[in-house]
Amino acid sequence: MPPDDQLLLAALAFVIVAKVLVLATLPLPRRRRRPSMQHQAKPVSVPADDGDARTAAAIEAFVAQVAADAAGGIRPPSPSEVMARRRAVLTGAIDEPTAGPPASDAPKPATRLAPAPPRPSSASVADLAGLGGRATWDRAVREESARAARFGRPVTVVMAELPDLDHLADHLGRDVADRVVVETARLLSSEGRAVDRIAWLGAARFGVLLLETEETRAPGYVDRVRATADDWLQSAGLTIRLSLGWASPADGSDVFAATTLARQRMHDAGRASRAVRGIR
Amino acid sequence: MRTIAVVNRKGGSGKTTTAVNVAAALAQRGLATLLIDLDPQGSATAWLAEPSDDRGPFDALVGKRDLAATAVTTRVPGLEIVRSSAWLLTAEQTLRGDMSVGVMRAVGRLRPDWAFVIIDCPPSLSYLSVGALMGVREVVIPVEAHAIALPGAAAVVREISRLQSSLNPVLWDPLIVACRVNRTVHAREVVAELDRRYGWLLARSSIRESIRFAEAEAARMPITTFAPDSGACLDYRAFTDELLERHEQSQPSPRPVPRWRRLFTRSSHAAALKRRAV
Repeated sequence: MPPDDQLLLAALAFVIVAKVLVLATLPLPRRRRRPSMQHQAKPVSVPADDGDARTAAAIEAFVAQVAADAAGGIRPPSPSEVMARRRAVLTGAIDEPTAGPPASDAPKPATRLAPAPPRPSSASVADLAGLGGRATWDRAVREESARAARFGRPVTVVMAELPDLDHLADHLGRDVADRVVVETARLLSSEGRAVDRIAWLGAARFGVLLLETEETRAPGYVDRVRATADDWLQSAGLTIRLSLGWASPADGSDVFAATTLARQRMHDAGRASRAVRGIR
Repeated sequence: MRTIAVVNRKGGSGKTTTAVNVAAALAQRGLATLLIDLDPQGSATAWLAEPSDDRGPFDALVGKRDLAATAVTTRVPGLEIVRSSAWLLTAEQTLRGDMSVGVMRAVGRLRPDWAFVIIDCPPSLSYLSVGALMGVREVVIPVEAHAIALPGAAAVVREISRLQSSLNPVLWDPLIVACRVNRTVHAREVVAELDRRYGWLLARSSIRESIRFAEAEAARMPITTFAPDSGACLDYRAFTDELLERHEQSQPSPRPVPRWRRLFTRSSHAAALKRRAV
């Protein structure tokens, strides 16, 4: 090979090797990531600061532990259980990132409910829920007032209401609203004791008499009911929430006055809840 | 800036009286003090300022406003108060753990415009109280000098210890102060029992029972203004001195004196009781 050609070949080889070395040391350009389906599938926004949510869950577990110690041994939820429940409430019961359907294809809330039981023409919601009505409630309050006045035993009145039920019925139908009322009634009964007296007071309101229970101990029942109701309503895709208020007769007052106070606190709780959720 | 929460589960133990009068005593020493009334009953608010039902404190505790902006001045120069609101009760029921985080963040975001921030907590270990305990470094537990108060005090000390290990490691060991100490043998025995159980956690000063506190509250003035020469005021001044001295002496919490050693060491409180008896 002539020397010029050799020189040319050597120069070419040098350039190629140099280029390979330079390319090897340079950082690779980042590939633009295509948005994955799992991010598109997330239908509800997650709270911006998950650390605060974890802290709040730890606090709720701590307070539950304190209350359990005071009550004598009921197992409180662990922080992980509280966190899981909060996450289910906030993200629509989706715990793992899965490639679910886009939000627009999500099933309508009405279809997620189990079909309502066949309703006799003359049956009332109270009959379906197995509770007494207004007359039963009035009699129970009179009896408890007399018992409290005579024996001085503690009693706490809990008032529960589904404040946006008419709105729900307008949008999803009366059957769905009745179903919600029946399930709420079953929830209030199942979380209480056999001695507690529960009645349906019409529309979306319930009254509960917690016998032998002081006002400071009522939050145990109220918290259980609220948590279970929130879980169920959230998983059913409903935006309404159960409002609860409770009160015990103060010195010199009776159960009727406590009922009025509990109702007022229930309304206040409902207003605060709607304010927090940004609902007018 | 020192942050102190005044907490006890039992109502009537002297939390509000202690919070208000210690805050006033500090302000009178020239130390700018902020009193935060977290009790929805609003006793401290009614004592020092005009009750108000605006949403300002509530908005501050949920992060929508600066807590310092909701402070109002009182009749005591150098003492400001963040007033309580009825919104706190319903907010606590609704927000629960989020309320605690809100309180913690609001206290943590306070600028060091005050030398002391004192928080009057509700009479229960609720979400508001836990939030306050997570935002402060010091805790004062007023305990009534009555046997019925002892189990509650034990429960609070235990819960604070649990909170120190799980939620707020920088929280100092609590300072217990015996309140409503009258001249009965029973009260002296209760104080001795507190000393036996809690040793160095118990403040050397104790607060006597006095009708002057109720009179001062009715006049809407702290005891340091209403009756500056009264024994009750002197008790709170002595306790305030002890608070100031405590900060200078101890940073990390010293270990409690073992029980067997207490047999051989003279109880400082027993000595103080003897001096008072003489």
